[in-house]
Amino acid sequence: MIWPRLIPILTIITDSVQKTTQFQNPVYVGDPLNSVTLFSQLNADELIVLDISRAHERPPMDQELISRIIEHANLPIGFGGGMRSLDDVKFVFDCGYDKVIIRTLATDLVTLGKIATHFGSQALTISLDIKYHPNGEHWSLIDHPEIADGAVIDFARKLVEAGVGEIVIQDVLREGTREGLRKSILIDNLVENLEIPVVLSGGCRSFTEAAEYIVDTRVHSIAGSQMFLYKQPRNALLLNYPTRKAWISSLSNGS
Amino acid sequence: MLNQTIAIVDSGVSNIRGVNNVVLQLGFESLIAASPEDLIGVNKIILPGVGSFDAAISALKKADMVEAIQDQVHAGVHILGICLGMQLLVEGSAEGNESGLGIIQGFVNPIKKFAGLRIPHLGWNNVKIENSNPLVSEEMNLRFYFNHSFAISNIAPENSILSVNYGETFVAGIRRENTFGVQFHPEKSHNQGRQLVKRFLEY
Amino acid sequence: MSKAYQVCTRCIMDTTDPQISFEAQGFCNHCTGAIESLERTNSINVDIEALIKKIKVDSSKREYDAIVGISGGVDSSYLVHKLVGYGLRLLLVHVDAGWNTITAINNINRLVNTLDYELETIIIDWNTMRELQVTYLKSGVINQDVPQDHAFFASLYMCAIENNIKYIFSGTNIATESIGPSAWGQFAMDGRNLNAIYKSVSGKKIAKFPLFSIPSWYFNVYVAKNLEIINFLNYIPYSKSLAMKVLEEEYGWEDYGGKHRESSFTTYYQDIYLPERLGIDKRRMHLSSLIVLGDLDRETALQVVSKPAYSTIEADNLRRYIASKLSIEVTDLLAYEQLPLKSYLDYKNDLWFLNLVAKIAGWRRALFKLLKMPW
Repeated sequence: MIWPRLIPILTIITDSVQKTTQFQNPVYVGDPLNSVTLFSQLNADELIVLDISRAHERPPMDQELISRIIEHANLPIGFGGGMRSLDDVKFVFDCGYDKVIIRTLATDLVTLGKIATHFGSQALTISLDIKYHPNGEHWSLIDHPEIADGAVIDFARKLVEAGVGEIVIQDVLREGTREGLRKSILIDNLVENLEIPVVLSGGCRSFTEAAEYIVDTRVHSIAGSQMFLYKQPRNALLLNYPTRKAWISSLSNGS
Repeated sequence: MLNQTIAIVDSGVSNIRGVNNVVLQLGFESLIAASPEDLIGVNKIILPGVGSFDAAISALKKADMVEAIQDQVHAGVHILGICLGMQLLVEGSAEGNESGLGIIQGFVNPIKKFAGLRIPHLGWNNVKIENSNPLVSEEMNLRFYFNHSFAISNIAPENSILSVNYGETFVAGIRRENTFGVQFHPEKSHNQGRQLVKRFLEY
Repeated sequence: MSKAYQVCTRCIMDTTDPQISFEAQGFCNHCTGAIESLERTNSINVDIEALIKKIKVDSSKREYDAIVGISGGVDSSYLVHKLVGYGLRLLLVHVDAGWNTITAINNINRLVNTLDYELETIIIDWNTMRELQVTYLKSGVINQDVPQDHAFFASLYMCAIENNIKYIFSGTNIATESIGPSAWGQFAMDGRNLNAIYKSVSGKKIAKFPLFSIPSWYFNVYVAKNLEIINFLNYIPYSKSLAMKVLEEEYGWEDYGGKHRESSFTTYYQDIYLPERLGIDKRRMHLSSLIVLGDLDRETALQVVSKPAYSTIEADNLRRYIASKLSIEVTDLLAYEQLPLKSYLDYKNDLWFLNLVAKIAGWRRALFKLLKMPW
């Protein structure tokens, strides 16, 4: 049987890994090649590399860097950031990535359909950045605030019809905060209504918390950044990832 | 052994870079094969693949690679198909209209949907050895990374070397003489995946 | 080299060290010196309890009693293990210069997860580190580990000073490092020298890098006395093989074979660069130290060095990884390995200061002897 995945996310600004909080206030982490190679050697289930340079008004990762940083890694890797056309997407696959993670282009269902037809649904992941209202019972897409509440679920269904293979829900207000994964009706609905994997990211403090959340909500996998990069209480950089045994054990304990 | 050239077939929709990376890590020379001449004199062939069946076969046809690959295989060159690349080795797929390379008898069908199971079959799963083969041994870690919505069925039992369970049991690895195929991505499956590729290249 | 090849009959140091000398039985100056050092060290009876008490009293108003620099390697890991139980408020400090291997990461995690000490990580700016490493390669000097060593120690000192922590426990030890010919290395603390080498290739002074000068170090340790470095492993019996066993049992610590494998660049430097460039196999040094300790027999040591440290595939992969990290081509790296030798003394340095201090200490010693006073 398939095991739920635990997925580290590396956010990159131009040429270095940086850690953000709610995608703001980047803090220097280091060389992307080192982080990617180490997560591969730590036997991480999968890795997400996000180029967030443009959001911070910096030049995007250069083409040579995008391919070089994964040359010594043997794990599945998804790339997201700044892809605007089918050619951009093809370039990323040519570099050796297994999936593209699309955010801005998500409403362009025609292009999404082309990507799915050409490269396969399993290579197409959509990232939906969600903003929750303080009471947690309302939410909207940050990039398209007019798509809110039930409309988000309808939109997700349309994405599946267009050929999307996986959806990552990015709880932006929790990102980097270690406030914990948010339980919400949105997640329940998506898990209930979509037949593709649904992944949640935002606020996770530990892999045991991720395991409990997966068992409670039947979400397919959990992604995160903070918990794989830092040791508390001093927020000291030290890459870490649970062993296979520890992960399976926490999934059993959570059920 | 180290002077061997491994051809990695570029069908225009394949993840050649990932396979190329692991071949280089293992110390072999690689060659990206985009046309029939590229396959002449190579020691092994790897056929990766992502994307749709028809798009891949169309691209191979366009580059005159279908016959070229079949010729090399009939001449005894070892070939390893990965993911869609494995599916291309059989007769056809429900995903499309084109015929496959037809090197091994079999057909590709959608993975059966069971309640609660997501499609695609995405993540790490354990394979079982159905018939002993040079690619894996019982002592190895048999956990590999899968990401697909279609799977091979209608295959002769002697051609099935690995199986996997996801709702039901289906084929995870095939073999006929010098032709091999795996449904999962060994180039993305940590050390055990690299070991599998090494075993293929050294076989 | 005009000398005929000769290898010591007690340890395995040989004429790849151009300054080696042999006595009648065929014993070399290294193991002779090492045995003398060890005897001296073993005869030092440091009152550890008193030392710990002094540290606690001195540090009662500080946030921590002491810093321990950790790398995931055997020395610093065992050091932390031995300090447990003394009730010291320790801050574990790791310096990340971008070269951490999986074994370093795993071992630090195991240590930190098992023990109750806090961890602080000091991150060196990678672009600067990368540039510095490349300028060192281009400069032609022998000791290519200076950038990392300097970054490590300078960061520890600056961290201590900034946080008003006086004591630093260091994993430096005579036991596993008793043999280290001066021809093979250089004092890594000379910030002036590092800056001079950097400037000679890049054309500018280094920035975004922890720089510490020899005079600064001397001032802080001996004059202002706000830094005290304690080489704790010299005060206790230290056997590397026993240490590794203990670490494996207590923490699931992993042995990675050889010394300094916690850094991939150091691995390249010792296993590939030095042998290629100078015919120096640093394993001879480390294994000879273990022979002197009684931890290893000479036969086994000879067997180890008779085989290359790396197979051709591993060597190629390591070169490819290093070249990739440094954003250069493998052909560039191969070219740097064949450059004509330069000495760090060819660049500006603060060795004069150390010589001056030693001279003054020598004069003091002589004067006090003359006056029959304790010096």
